[in-house]
Amino acid sequence: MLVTLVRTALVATPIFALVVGPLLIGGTEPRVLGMPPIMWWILVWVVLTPPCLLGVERLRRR
Amino acid sequence: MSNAAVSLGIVAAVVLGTIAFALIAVRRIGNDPAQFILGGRSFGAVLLWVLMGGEIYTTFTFLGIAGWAYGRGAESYYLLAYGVLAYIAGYLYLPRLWRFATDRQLLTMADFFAARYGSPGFGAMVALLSTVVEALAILVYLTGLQLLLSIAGFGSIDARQAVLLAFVAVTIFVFTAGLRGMAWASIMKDALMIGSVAAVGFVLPIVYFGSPAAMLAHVIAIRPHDFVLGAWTAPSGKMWFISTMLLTGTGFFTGPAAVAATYAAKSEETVRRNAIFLPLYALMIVPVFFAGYTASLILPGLHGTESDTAYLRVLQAHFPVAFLGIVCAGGVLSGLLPSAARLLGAASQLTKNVLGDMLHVAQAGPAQTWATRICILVVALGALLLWLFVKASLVDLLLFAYNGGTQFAPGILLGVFWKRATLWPIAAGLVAGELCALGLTVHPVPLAGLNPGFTALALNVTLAVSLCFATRTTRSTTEAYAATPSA
Repeated sequence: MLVTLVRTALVATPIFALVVGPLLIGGTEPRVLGMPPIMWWILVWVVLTPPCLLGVERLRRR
Repeated sequence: MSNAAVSLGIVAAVVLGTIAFALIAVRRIGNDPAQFILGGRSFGAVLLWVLMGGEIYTTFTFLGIAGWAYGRGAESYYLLAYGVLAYIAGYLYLPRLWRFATDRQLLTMADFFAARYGSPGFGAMVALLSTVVEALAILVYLTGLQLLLSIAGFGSIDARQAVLLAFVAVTIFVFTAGLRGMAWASIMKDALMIGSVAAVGFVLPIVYFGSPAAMLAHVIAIRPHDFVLGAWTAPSGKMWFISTMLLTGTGFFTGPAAVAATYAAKSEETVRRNAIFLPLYALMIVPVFFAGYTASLILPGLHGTESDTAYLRVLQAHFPVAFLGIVCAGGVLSGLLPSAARLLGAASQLTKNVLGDMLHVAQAGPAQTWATRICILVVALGALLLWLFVKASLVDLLLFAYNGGTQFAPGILLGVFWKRATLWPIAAGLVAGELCALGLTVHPVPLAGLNPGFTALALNVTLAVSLCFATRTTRSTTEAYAATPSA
């Protein structure tokens, strides 16, 4: 039960962050490495998605 | 030697070199259809990665994304994000699709529709419909190739003839080497594209502004409003962003080429592992944004397809011609190989699901492989004729290619996840979705700012699901599904 919940959360979080996040964080500040918010926000989730999916995969095997 | 001769020479050498490399790597090409169409279902991580990831790197990536960064607002950022959504979705359904297909030794995407819904006729319908979609998609690539080759030729050659030559070369290549050859060629293509895109994306801002960050500071100062999405229902506003993300994320793997790539994996494990790490491919889109932004500062005021090639024009004017040649060569490969993948995908469906299942011609063995080869030539010829003669509403055709292609998604997704999905509801949803996509392309109706493809997809899913609930599930249609071990 808990495992299912965690797995669902691990899949849902990046989807939610990528689809809804850009609606909320427009603008030009704060910048990270010179990138505007919408750009670095998406990049952060590009990089975080493989670890999330890897987590789902680990939990699947148990 | 003239500039044009040098850069075109580099492009030609790279294209021919890639083909030669792939032919050597493949060595013996048999006449077994599963070898030719699916590479013998033996692809490991690397070949599968380039085959699947390669689909995100096409001439549209190369030119279109740069053009969006050049001239459009925050909505361009969907291009950076949708690939990740597509891979998450892929992680969820591609392993099931692989299992279903491998248990039944399916060859094509249309085979899935035929087997899952127990109707070869439906398979044939899917094959014919998706051939149209694939031919239109090839049109996008050919148009991109034309832009690239006219830049590489410094306007001194007829780019249409160059496109013709390149397309004929790659058609003969896929005719000869099948999927395995394409996978090997994709390794070259990806290495060259990633290398050249990264070089351009970082070199341009560093040369003109000192660093990408300094370049971005200029862009933000000049166009601060291009980093906030528009109002909810505005054109390209928030609703558009959400609907486009969901549409492109779901429809990414539901074409015959991507489905064939999935079938080609040697194990379910390989499919899973690929989907987990494919999101990192999206990082390669960032330098394309940098190139587009830099070009918008150095060479402002371009419109339409000119803005797509803005950064190449900067290279053309201010950099060594060899650099331009290598970058264009990467771009040309990014148009040719996805074209080849779509040719093979469409041709194998025509052979297996229309000629084989409907007309009982060339149903197995070498005959099937040769029929596929002939169909490759037929589809290639069809796409070329479209490209040469259909000029009026190219943009509409392209829109329809994307939106129409996605309508196959419900049949596949509901097919692998939902036992109650049956033939007639899914077929009704598909037809309604295609008609809606076509209608909204011809007659755009601003529906709450939604992407028209999404509206069509929503209609498709709603119709399919509600009809599934409304009709009683019959035994024969669920049997195919129930026989799946992992279902």
